Amino acid sequence: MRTNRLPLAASRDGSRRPGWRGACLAASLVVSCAASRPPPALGTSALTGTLRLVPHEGVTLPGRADSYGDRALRDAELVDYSSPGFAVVSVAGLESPRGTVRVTLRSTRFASRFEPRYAAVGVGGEVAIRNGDDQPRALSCPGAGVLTSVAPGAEVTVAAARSGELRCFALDRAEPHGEAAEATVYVAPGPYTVVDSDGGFVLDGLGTPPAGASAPATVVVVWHPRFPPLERSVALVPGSSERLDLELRVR
Amino acid sequence: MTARAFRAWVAALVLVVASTASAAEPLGSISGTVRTALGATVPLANVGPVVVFLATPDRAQPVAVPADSPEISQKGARFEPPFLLITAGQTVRIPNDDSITHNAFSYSKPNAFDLGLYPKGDARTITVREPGAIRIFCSIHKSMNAVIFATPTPWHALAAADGRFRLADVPAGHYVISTWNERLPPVTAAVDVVAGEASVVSLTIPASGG
Repeated sequence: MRTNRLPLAASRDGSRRPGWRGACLAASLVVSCAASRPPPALGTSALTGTLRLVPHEGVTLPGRADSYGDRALRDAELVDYSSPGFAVVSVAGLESPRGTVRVTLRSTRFASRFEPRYAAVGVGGEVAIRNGDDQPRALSCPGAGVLTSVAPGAEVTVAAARSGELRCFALDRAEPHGEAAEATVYVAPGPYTVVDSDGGFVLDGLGTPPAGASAPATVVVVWHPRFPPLERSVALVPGSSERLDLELRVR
Repeated sequence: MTARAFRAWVAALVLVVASTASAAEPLGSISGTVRTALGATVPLANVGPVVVFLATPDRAQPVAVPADSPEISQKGARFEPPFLLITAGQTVRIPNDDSITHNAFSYSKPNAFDLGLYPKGDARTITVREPGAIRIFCSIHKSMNAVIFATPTPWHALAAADGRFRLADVPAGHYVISTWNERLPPVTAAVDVVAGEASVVSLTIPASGG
């Protein structure tokens, strides 16, 4: 009997996972779907594209140079350019979606961590931080002027009043290597989306700049926790979709 | 030395001392403590460097910037030291003391910079024009992070683990004293420095928000 499921291939551990043919089929479906995206709803526009991290030319990678025989250097973790990781594409000048993003502080025997480590919310929104531990925790968000103790299971709401990075820390425990548990929330200036693991992004349902805006061009802002922010101007026309392929790089 | 020469030498010395005393500003000091309203729940030893510094809202003439150039070395795929306290206007030297290529860049406004890639033995510099925190990264190595904090005046200090600090040789006058820490909100207070006296300030970062 034929089914419409993706072809599966047996893996070494005996489980069955989609094989390369399945992956190719899925990829072609994604491509064909993307190519045939429906036009934006009446009066709105859309923005699609990709984000890529660009490494320096001529950088020596581990294993290719004798200098990496030095253990300290050989064990040094490299910046991963193969995927953008957590990155946000937002549109400034349009109404912010505001919203609430939820973050939970948890700890193990060895360390504390916020889940998720990175998040995004629209300016004017809120960050709800829950203490997932069974002990009170000290929470500090310097950029929002917050320093407070959070009871076990309780939640603290931090206003995302200004666009940019909002960093929050748990400070009551000494963490390994002198680090503190940290959550970084990017407060987007307008509509935003988190970039996919493959670098693709889609922002649809975008309104038009407010009446009286001096120019039809809108500024697209790209934020990444480690790379300099990137800004591009784009003219969003109601009923149409614009494409932007963006690159983040350091000299 | 003859008696006449000795008298001349003493007279010259008195002149020098007198002119130095008239040119120097009357100095005082500030000492005190920094703590958080959460008390022992947040040990300062857990939060990293706590900076205490002065700003001079009423001072007409610009303050002198130290002439030395402190360093942050790139060594073992780390920045060393990982924190540097300087005065705005100072130049920081960033040598590559590793056997591999490194980069140093920052997107902290308004002191953003990008020194590009440079090899072992090379050193590049940045002059920090504005006060504030500057987070520094290497574009190759994830472990390479550092912070420079530039204060608006040379009167700054790091608080000890118990919160105590002392700012010495401060010209008499009216100041704003502030704290900075990467993980804590700041606290600010007004303080007067009196020549020959030690002012005492207690700075408490309030519990707020949430």
